[in-house]
Amino acid sequence: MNSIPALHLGLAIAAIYAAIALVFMLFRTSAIGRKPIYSKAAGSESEGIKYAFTQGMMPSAKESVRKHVPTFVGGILYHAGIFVATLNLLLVITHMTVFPAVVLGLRSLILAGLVSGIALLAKRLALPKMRIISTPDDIIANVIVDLFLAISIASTMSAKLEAWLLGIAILLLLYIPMGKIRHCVFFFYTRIIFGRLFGRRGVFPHSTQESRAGSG
Amino acid sequence: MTKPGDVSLKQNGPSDTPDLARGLRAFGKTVDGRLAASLNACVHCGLCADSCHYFLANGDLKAQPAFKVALVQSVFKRYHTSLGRRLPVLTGGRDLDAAMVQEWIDSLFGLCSLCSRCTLNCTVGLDISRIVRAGRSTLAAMKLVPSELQATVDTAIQTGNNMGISKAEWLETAEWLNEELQKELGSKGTMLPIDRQGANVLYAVNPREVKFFPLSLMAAARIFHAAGESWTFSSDYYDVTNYGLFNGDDKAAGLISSRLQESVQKLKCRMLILGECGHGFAANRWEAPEWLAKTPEFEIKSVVQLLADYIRQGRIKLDRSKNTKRVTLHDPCNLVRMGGVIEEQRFILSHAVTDFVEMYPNRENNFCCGGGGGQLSMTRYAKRRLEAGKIKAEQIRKTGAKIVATPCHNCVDQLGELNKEYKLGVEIKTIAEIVSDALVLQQNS
Repeated sequence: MNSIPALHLGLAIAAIYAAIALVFMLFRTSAIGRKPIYSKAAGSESEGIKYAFTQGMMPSAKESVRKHVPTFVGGILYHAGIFVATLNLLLVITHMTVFPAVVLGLRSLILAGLVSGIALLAKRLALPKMRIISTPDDIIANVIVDLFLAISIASTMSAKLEAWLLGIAILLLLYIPMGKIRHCVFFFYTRIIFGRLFGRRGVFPHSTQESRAGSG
Repeated sequence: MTKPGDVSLKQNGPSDTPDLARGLRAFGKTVDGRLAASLNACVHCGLCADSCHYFLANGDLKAQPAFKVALVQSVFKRYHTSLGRRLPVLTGGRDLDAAMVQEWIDSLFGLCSLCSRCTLNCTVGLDISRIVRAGRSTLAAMKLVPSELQATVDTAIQTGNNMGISKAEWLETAEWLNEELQKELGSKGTMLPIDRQGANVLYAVNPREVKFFPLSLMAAARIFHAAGESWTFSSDYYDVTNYGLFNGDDKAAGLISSRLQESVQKLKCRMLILGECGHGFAANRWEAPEWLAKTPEFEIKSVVQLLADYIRQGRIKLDRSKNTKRVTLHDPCNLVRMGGVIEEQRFILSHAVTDFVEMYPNRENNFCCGGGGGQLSMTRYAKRRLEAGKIKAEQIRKTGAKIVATPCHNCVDQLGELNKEYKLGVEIKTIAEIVSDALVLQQNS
């Protein structure tokens, strides 16, 4: 019996569930204890938000990133791999044909993401500093995503793996709202809060090139 | 002195058993959208660790900001997320029990100065200080604030200032300083006005200045005199500090700040000028309007901003050649990183000293001296505080400066202790003291 149509339906349901759950969580969170801000602004919230999503995310603005370039690069590649694997999933479910060179490119990016994901997991498990702040959710989320990336790579080499790809994608979508992967939406929320706070207080945007020199 | 490990529940509450139900209710009230978003967004990447002076000083894994976040997050997940309620093991959710409370006290009070440096360095941008303060608020509701910190807040509420200085002592000190300044300046006018109705400026100071650093008060009075400012102290409420910011008790914090605001209104002043106090600025300028749910009808500025205005407007003249020793600047976290007063103190020093050198990193990236977050009052954590200050001490040493200027009296105290502990051989001065030293007094002023 061909399970693909059922898996397609399952994927659609899981995607809708994940989207609704995330949107619901965002709205519910933003509604908790909402109140006006009474202090007079010294700067601009909108400029702060702009900063938070641009310069404020650059390594030049973050000592923590400058001190941990491999982890930062690993994180970027990991997330890039996830986006490309999602694109690959869309290609698979729509049966869209692409040039072999494109497939090779997708495969390489997903592989880079997978290697990064495994490296980040290894770091989490190996370093006491990381273990003490880790929860089972941190491990499970990483493993599910790594499996999604691995099967995505394999699926670019064999069409027979479509069912496996759909299966892991469903699992991933179901897990997203439950665990730490919900940061995929809360990240943006938090950056906005960051930008509003520091923008309002006139801390950012601020010319800080001088302040960073020699800071490691 | 109490040792760090002795932060027992016995010492802080009326009974051995913390009122956990009360704590959970209080925690629930602290969870607003901003906090919930932060607690949902932490990915436990651990990159914040190296931004914390506590962690850098001794590598204590429990000092890393992500660990402090995880402590609060685990309770949030246990009681405020659906998966955490059903499968707490999976999410790292933990009960708020006596053991957790003990961990919270030790970590949230004992290993954090609420400096927010980690917030700037968080890959996601979590407001980590806010998370730590939410934990402190919960502990405050359970009456589990370390007793020395709580005593500081209680004293401020009971007496109007955190040092319990009586009104008579305050007025006597002001009178004595007034006489000294009259002699120095050859003037018969009032140099330290008290309760002057309709003055432009109501000036609030750290009561430590009254008790231990009267020269700092004289320096400010001298500058106001030179600028021809219409200003006054309040005889009742003149304390710029607000340790309610640190113990997490919004109600107490609001009450303390409201008294300053009421003094401004009672004396019909146009501006509340906050003396050199980092947390006093953050509390009164940024947090008080939120605690009191009211936008102040008058201007609130730091004295640093006012001094910069005086220089720009030509109201005071400074002679840089009066300050020739090398000066470096320590940026108080609550004035700079959390306050937005970043360049004014540099502008002032550029007019007041001949040899200014930055320490690195600086401005909003500067390291905390270790004296914030109520640490100076919590004597049980003094050893940790001095150890964490090692990072600041090294920053200072590298500058080769002879004077460390800082617009914050809490920082002055901590830097003074670091000076002795790490044998830095520097003088610690406030900005007003340096300006006062460089002041050119006109014949007719």
